[in-house]
Amino acid sequence: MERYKPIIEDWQAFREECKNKEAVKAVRKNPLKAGDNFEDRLFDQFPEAEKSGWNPQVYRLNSKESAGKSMLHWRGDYYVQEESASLPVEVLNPQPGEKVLDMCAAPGGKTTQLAAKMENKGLLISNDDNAQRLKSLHANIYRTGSTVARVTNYDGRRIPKEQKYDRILVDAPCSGEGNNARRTFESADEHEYENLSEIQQKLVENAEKLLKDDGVIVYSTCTFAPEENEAVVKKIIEETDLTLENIETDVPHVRGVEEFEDKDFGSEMSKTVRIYPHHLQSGGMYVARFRK
Amino acid sequence: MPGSESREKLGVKDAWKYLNERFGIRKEDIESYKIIKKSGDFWLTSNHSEPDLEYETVGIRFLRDTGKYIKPTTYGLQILGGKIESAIIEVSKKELITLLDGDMIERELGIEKGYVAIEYEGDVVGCGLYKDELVSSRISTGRADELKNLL
Repeated sequence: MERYKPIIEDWQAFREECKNKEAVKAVRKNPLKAGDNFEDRLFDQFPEAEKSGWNPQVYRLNSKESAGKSMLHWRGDYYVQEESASLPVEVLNPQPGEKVLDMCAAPGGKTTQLAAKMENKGLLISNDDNAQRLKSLHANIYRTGSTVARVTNYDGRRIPKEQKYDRILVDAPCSGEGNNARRTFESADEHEYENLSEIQQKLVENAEKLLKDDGVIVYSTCTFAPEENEAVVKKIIEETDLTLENIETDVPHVRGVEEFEDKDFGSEMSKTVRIYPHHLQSGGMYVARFRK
Repeated sequence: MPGSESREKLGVKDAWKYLNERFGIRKEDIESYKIIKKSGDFWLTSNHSEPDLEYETVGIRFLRDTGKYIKPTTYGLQILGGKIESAIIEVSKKELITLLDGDMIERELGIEKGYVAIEYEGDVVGCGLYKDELVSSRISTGRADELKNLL
């Protein structure tokens, strides 16, 4: 992780958070299932729980108890999700009745969040190319009552283009440093960055072809590597008709980096968002938003 | 048993009829949804046309056509939840554990034999079968084991 020292201002806080602490367990309320008494039930089970400061659907449990072992979870009243992981869907902001594509949907955290924000109205295509991961995607869709979700199993780079979408989420496969940092505190290797960034770029390029005019694409990863984040975004704005939009959010974050090592990504990257583990005692996340 | 018409004739209209007659569900209660028949079962999804794609699933399977009758799924009944007006039984913790253990509980419901929604602490938790004044669980083994461990 030392390679990120020049771009992470509060290096000490970052390092300490990754090395010494467990992420705070968080859950996202599922309004498709949760009743009016959700908070009472949640606080009953997790007395130390508190609402997230920026996302009213997210609760930090502050408990050692497993969030996956409660009646509320069994019923699908909440989804166990790292606090930072709920940002991409908030930024995409899908509306009820719209046509939305989740290009890399398994295991379903963001797809069930999309369904909830869409109030189960409209069209949600929840795609994933990994057939084995569809099992967990289905289980989570069923448990949360996300009836709007239609599951497909295409390679995201080759989803048929007849249907155009209002909004597309490309939560791309990545090296996952934002989650792995707590386990190994080691960055991924160069070849991995290279392979992944090529796939990531092609996913967004296909998403552009699937997007309606004036539609929105959100690109996200859970890695710190600029090769998979700002470098991909730079290529996209250079090689497609997509424009980068500024993300305004109350979530603790820093802006995307404009340069790293010998690479220059440009000042536009300040429109994108990086969340480091110490910001929310959560995982890492990178988010960019494009409009066609 | 309601919904025991021959398999060939069961269509979406039969599914609506079954929901209405058995559980008191009115079409307007779930007007933002649509029911489609796929792979022989009935699925609940949003009221929107499907683009021409190859689908693994469309929405949530909520009624199974067993060939002899229509059987609601546990997930389907959970979605219908508070809209269910008939064929619903409320159970205590002890009764729920009995059901999840695979045993039966006694109930006089005054309804025809068939499937019922099992309610616990105000929430529909799944599907049961009512026959000869006895109720048994039809919650899948995996989900039933998970639930039992939480009680």
